[in-house]
Amino acid sequence: MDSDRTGRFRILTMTAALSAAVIVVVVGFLVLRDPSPRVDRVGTLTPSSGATKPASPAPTVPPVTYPTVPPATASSTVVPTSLVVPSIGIDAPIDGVGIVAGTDEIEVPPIERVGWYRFAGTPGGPGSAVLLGHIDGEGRQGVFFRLGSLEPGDPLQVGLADGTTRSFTVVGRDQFPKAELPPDFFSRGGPSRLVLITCGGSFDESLGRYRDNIVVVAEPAS
Amino acid sequence: MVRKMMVVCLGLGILAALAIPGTASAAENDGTVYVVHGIPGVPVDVYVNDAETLPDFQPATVAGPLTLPAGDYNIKILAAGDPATGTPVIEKTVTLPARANVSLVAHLDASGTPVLTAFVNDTAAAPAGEGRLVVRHTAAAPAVDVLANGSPAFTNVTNGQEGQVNLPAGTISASVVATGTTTPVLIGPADVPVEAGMATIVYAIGAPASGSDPSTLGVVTQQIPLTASAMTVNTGTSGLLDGDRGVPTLAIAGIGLALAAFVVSIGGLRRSRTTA
Repeated sequence: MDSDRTGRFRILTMTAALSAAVIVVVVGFLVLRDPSPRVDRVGTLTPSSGATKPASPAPTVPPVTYPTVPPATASSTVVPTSLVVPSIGIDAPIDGVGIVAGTDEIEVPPIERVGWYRFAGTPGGPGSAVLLGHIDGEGRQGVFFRLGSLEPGDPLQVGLADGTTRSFTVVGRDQFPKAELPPDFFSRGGPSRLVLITCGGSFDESLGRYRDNIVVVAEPAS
Repeated sequence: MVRKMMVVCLGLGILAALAIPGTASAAENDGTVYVVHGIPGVPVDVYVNDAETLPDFQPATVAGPLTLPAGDYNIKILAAGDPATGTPVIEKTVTLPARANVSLVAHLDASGTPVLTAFVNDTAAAPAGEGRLVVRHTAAAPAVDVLANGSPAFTNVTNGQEGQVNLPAGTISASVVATGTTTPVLIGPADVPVEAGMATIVYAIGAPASGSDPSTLGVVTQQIPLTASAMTVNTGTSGLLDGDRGVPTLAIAGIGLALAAFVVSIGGLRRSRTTA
């Protein structure tokens, strides 16, 4: 073998190895890449069952007095009226929203406003209080455009109709295909928490909708 | 990528853990228990397996929820302040099924004798925007009809029986009458809130007037959360934030180029070896 052939052999070997490496890396990236590069799961979104579980007692019941459930009273609900999230620049009014008639779809408020789903909990009350907002619409960014960049520890405040304010701290963020959005986020039972929902993931041009929901959970600030 | 691998490892770990029998947590099978006091005028002490659990439990109130392992429980109800060794007003062994949600109700039967009835609460999801109204006849009275906003909603309900219906959230005016009648009204009318995602359980309790004893008929109301139903949230129509857009086409082009380079260089290598 002369030096010219050895050189060519080396170059071809290196090219083969390099291109193989590129294929492996790119295919690997495609296979393993997160379907949503912008939103990673952070913190914990603890599911809460409908029933409250105060403790896990031994088979013999200890002599403890349990809280008495107050009798039901009609519409003592104090509704939320404003949401402030300093870390992503949200300071928006809240409207109560219900169901789009005959569907399981929650009504959405105008693009700059936040919706409070009035068929779940109230902020600070038992169970999940659900706030939703547009990520975009009419070619503009919506009130929850940056929801996916909230991080655990970020503070937020909800103003209530009685003039008081409830403070919360973000504990987790996650993303779900719309059909797999866990019903538990709308639970009336379980610990008090704030659930913020918008859209995310890839955009389905044929339907004019995003394929996923971005969910941020916050708990009452201690 | 590291995170994905960690998730895979975690998944394998969980599978391995599941494969080991007997590691399932007992808590998964725990039941949820509420206690309802439906005997007017008599504060009581409630003992569960001989442990005083609800001292001085007041009439027309609800206690709970209590999370307990499935199984049999001895329930003893004594007049408040009586020694634990005293004669119980009611004593009964009740079975708590796995994962059940149960209301234990101390009440009067149709003839006025104190009894304990375990009602299993249906916590299945209601349609979006609806709640569940449950009525339970636990009063010393014959068969009744329950009128909702003036119309019979449940008919011929006897002591120990219940009826339920899913309704849109709102307020119902409810009253109780002897079955087949609309007057006189035995209980009510009372405003009953129906909240979405909640069961509102109304117990008719007490006894009608008898001789010099005035009527003690009334209601106790209890609310428990239902399993939440699946919801849809559509909050974007412009596609300004698209997590996936553009990435696949670039990647596919990259693979194509790299494949071409690989094939060419392998071809060259073969020729180079042949000529060597």
